[in-house]
Formats: sequence, structure tokens, C-alpha cells
Amino acid sequence: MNSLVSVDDLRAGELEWVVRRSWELAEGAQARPVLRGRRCALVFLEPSSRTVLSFSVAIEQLEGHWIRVDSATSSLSKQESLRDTVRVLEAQGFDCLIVRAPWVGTAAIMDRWFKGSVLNAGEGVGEHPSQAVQDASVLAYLRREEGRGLGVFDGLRVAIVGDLRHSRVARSVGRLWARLGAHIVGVAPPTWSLAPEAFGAQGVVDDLDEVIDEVDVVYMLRVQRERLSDRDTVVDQETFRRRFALTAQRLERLAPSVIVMHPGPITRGVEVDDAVVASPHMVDGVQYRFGVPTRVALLEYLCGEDT
Amino acid sequence: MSLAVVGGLIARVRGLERADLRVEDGRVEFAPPRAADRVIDASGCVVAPAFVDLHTHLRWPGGLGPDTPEDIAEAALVGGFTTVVAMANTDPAIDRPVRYEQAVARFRDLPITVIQGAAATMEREGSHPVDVEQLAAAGVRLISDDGDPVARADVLVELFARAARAGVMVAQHASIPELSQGQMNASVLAERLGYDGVPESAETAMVARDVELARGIGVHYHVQHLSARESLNVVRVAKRDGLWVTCEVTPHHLALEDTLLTGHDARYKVNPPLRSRATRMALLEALLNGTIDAVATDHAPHPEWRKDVPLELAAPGVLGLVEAFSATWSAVLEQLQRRGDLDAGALDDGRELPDPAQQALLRVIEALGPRPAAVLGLEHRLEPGVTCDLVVIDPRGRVRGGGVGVYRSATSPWLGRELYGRIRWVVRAGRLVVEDGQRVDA
Repeated sequence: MNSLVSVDDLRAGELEWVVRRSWELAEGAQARPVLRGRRCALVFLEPSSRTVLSFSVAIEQLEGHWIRVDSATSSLSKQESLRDTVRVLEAQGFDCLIVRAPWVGTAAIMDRWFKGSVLNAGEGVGEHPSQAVQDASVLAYLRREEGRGLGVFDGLRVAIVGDLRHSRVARSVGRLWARLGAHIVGVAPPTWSLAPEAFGAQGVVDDLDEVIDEVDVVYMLRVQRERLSDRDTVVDQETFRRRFALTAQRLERLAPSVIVMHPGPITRGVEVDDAVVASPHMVDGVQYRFGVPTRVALLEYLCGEDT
Repeated sequence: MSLAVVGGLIARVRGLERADLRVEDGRVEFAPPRAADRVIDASGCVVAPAFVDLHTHLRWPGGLGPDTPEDIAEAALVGGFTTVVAMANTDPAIDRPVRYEQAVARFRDLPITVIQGAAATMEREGSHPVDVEQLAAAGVRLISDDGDPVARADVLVELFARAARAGVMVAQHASIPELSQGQMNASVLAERLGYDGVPESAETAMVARDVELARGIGVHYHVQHLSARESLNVVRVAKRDGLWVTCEVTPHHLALEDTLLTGHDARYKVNPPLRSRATRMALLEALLNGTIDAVATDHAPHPEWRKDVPLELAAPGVLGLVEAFSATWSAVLEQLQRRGDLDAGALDDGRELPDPAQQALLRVIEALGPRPAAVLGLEHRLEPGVTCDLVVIDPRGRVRGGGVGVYRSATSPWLGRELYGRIRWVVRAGRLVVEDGQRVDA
């Protein structure tokens, strides 16, 4: 493997390596300079702050150079095919493309033409594999005392809650974790629901109360207001909070061992209450902490020669 | 000039018959070979009326791609087509007699016969019917807003009434617009990949509505690029009820499936979208049992920058004139094998085509020549004394798709696919225009 376009590309052994490596890095291990003298293009065709930050820091730790290519400097709007964009980047000596785009399939298409590595950093409502790998690392790390590595996912009961339909995170996290043995259930209003197979789930319910007492992990999603089209029935906030938000009241029902995750950015008062963010269940801080180590580990794996 | 075609099987109304043909100044005679300027050895081949495509985009005026009408005509001939119907979704749309006449003049010297269609509504905006009577007087035989449906029922009813009186066919790109905004077939796969889907019901619901609106008017209503299983049932019932309803299906809907979009390759983006395997099987069966009148290509060239991009930015449409016969025939053969009517390898052992394959071949040939011609009101059969363009097909021959050297845009969905069925010779107006698969101008 030298590209990561979809979580479906990852084999269990590869993932195990990346996860364990990200733990070492998170605990202070030095990154190997696999990108020394090499150039990465951060092709970011839609706004992003944390992902671009974690990738650029990761590349620097690997001693690579990076340049950001954004929508304004991309030629897609000027009748250039993506294939030609790739040819230009290749000719300019880039070895690795980190791709964030509003359109599903962008990374896959670039990977078809690019000789080096392509890493999908989130596209449209399609996939966000590095987030799914990061959160797998986090979860396995939090339960590392069990000494099972990725084995902790076996039989793990996970609820993914919120706007499933517009969520690339739900698709990637759900499918990757399901492959590791987790039992995924979706919780979403009917209008934001998604076929269970689309995100590795065994079913979708439309009330958090139906599953909250029976899960080990509650994975909360942000409401993707910017991806809603006028064809989507607007879900009113009151109903959403009543049935889908992780409120202070629901927090009290959680067993002590339940982990709450959120890919960020969190909209406090909408999908989660302040009390949840402040509670020991919430591990978003660990998620942020693993942002750079996971990307370092992924790039070491994809771009390193002897891994 | 005179041509003799010897040793082949002739595709006639009652079946495949072994006979020799003479073509003298375009006129076909069933006669033993005498001296001819040129003798074609058609052993192992089938001789059929040349193909008629009910659905081609010549992209003039206003085409953005590298393929000119001349290029597309070359592709048509190599694919066995000597007549094509040109769609009117051009820029500007061909919605009035002066534009129609300009198009006819533009295409007059092409090496194929072009039947230019007209738009159904002014500027294809869907709200004001074209002047059907004036267009008919100028020579228009069919109207369609292809690329979009005529969605408004009041507009369609008026068009039906006026077209029926004027003797013009109304062809419809049937798909409810509000349900047709997605990138691919509505399916679990679409949800997994993150695309909005276009359900088959978007098509069937409109076909059913249109058929009911046409009832009693006597209009000829034609369903373009039919792609939904239940649309077939609507067409069947309409035909049984004696309505003048016909339909076409494309080679890509017969041969390709929605799962090809797993790799996000926009070469497979088409409108209506590629469907599931089950639907594809149903379309193939409907072709073989005659429910489907015609195989039509919907040949739609696009420049590379509209295809080598994410699906959401890509233009819908595929290339297909060169591969139309081979793709259809290959899909049919695969279906016969799946049914158990044909052994794998039956085409490779050099013996006569088994009977089920012969019957199926005849169906494919009919759907590419005589029947689309009949949809247009033309007699197009190989019988003694007629003037008829010919195509000589080697059903066992193998070709590689992609139209390399013929298409200007390299976005064919058939690129790299090995297909059965070679177009070997094409005779147009008594002259050899394709020789052993290569374009010639004798």
C-alpha cells in the first residue's frame, strides 16, 4: 500500500502497525524522517483548520516540505481535468498528495493518475479514512491495559449518532470499526438516515434512548449544516435535542466505562451539552492529541521504504 | 460500381439464410456471383441492413469537445451505422425551422445520413411548445428535449395533440427532474460512496404518466434510453393496448452496471444512470423477446476535462457508436450463457453458431437496423430489389473497445474491454465505406 483513499483499502495488519506506531509517537517517540527531501502537496479544496494543521505538523516532523494548494490556486474551475492537475503536480516534483475536497471520489481519481502516494484527508460526504484510523488508535489506546491491541473492537458496541447521511466520518469510522469486529448501530432522524450497509452498521434507530443503555461507545457527529441542501427536510432543533443529542440528562444514564467521542468541531448545546464535554466520558481531548501522531504513523507507513 | 457479397448468412425477416448478394448501384439482388468490381468473402459472417441509430449527439452547433460531426460520422460508419438521428440539445437548441435547416445543411455532406431531430420546447426550457407544424413542414420527423424531459404535463399534452396531427414522433427523456439530481443509480452502493441516487421510479413514473396522457390522442410516443425494469412493463401494456409506443435501450445499459462507479470513474456517469445487474438482465430479456424496439447509442462525446473529474463535476454521457454492436452482442451472449442456452466457448470452436445464438443475433441485428428504421417510419430490410445499405458482421470476431484512432476523446467506457462481434464491411449507397473494420472511401 502506498495510498490511502478508502478505509476499505486498509488491511488489518497494516492498521495494527499504524495504530501501535501512533501510540509510540503520542508517548514521545521520534518520527522517522521518511519525508526528508520530499515534497507533499496539501491539496485542500475546501476549508479545513485542524486537518491541515495536523498534516502539516506531521510532514514537518517527518522532515518533509509541504505546500498548500487551495481552491483558488487549483485549476479545476478553469476547465482543467484532474488528470492534468496531477500531471502538473508530478512534474513539479511532489511525492505525496494530501487531498481534502468537497467532491466524493477526488482522491480516488487523483490516485489513478499519480505515481506517488495519495492520502484522502476527507472528501464530500464520502470518506475520511485518516479520522477513522485516528479514532481507532484512540479507542484502542484508551483500553490498552487489556493488552489486546485492536482486539478491543471485537464485539464492541458503538452508536454513531446524528447526521449520518451527510457524514463522511460516519461512513469511514463505521466501516473500519465494523471490519475490526465492532457492532455498529446508527441513530439518526429518518431524513438524515443512511442504509446500514453504507457505514457498516447493523441497523439505524431514530431515538438515542433506544440504545444508550447498551453501548460501549457513543460517537457523536456534528450537524453538517453546510452540506444540507434545500431538498433535505430541516430537522428542527428541539426534536433533534429531544431524541438525538447527548444531553446532561442522558449523561447521567451512562455506565462509567462508556466512552463518548466526537470528531469536532463540537457544537455545544446542539449535539452535546457542556456537561458532556466536561465529563470524564468525553475523550475528544485524546482524539485531538492523536491527530498528529496518527498522521505521522500513516505517512511513515505509506511513504517509508522499509515498513 | 458493383459488389458481390458471397458465402455469408443473410439476415432476413424470416431468419438467417445462406445466400450470395449482388449490389449494383445500391440495389440489392439475391443472385449467384457474376463478374463484379469487387467480391467480398463473407464466410462466417452475417450480412445485415446497415445500422440506424435513433440517438446520437453530433454536438453541433455549440459543441465544446474535440469531436466534430465529421469525426462522429466516421465513428458511426466504423460501428456499422449509415443513418443517425441527431439530438437537438445543442447550443443554441434546434427549436425552430431556421436552425433545423442550418443543421441539415451542415450535415448534408457527411458520409452518413443524418436525420435531425428538433427540440420539443423553445430553447428546451420546458414551457413553450415548439411550432410543431412549421417544423414538420420543414421536414422534422421527431421532437425531443433530450437531456431533459418535457416535465410539464400541460405542455406535453399540447405537444402530443399537435405532433399527432403533424405526423411527428414525440421522443421523451423520461425522468422526473426532482428525483434525477443524483450522480448514480439509487442504491446501497450510492449511499456507501456518498452519492445522491436516481431511482428507477423517476423514469417509470414519467413513462406511465406520459402513456396515460397519450392515450386516445394517437401520437407516436417514444421512450428514449429506457433504463428501468418497471418501464418495460408500462411499455408492454401500452403496446398491448394498441398505443403507438416504442422504446430504445442503450448498449451501455445492456452491458454495464452501477457497481462500475465504485472507483469514482466518471466515464461511467451517464443519464439515466447505469443500473443494477437485475435491471440489466431484465433489459437484455426485453431485447431478446422484442419488447424493446431499438438499441440506440446515446453517443455523447465530452472533452476530457468534463470526464476526468469527480462525478459531481462531470458531464453525463458515454461514447458508443463504434462499440454499439459488439457491446450489445457480448452482453447478449453472456446472458445466453447465464440462462444455460449457450456453452462457454461456443463461439470459439469455429463451428456454426448454435441456434439460440443465431436467434439472438437476429434480434440484435433487428434492433440495430430494421426496427429503429421502422420507428422512424422507414422500410429498411434486405430483400431482393431493395436499395439498402449493408453491414457485414463477424459474430465470432473479437475486438478491443475504446474506439482508438476513431474517437477524438479518450473517455470510452469500453476502453480496454474485449468484446465479441466485429464490423467488417459496410456498404453505403452501393459503395464500400468500411473494409475489414477500417474506414475506406472507395
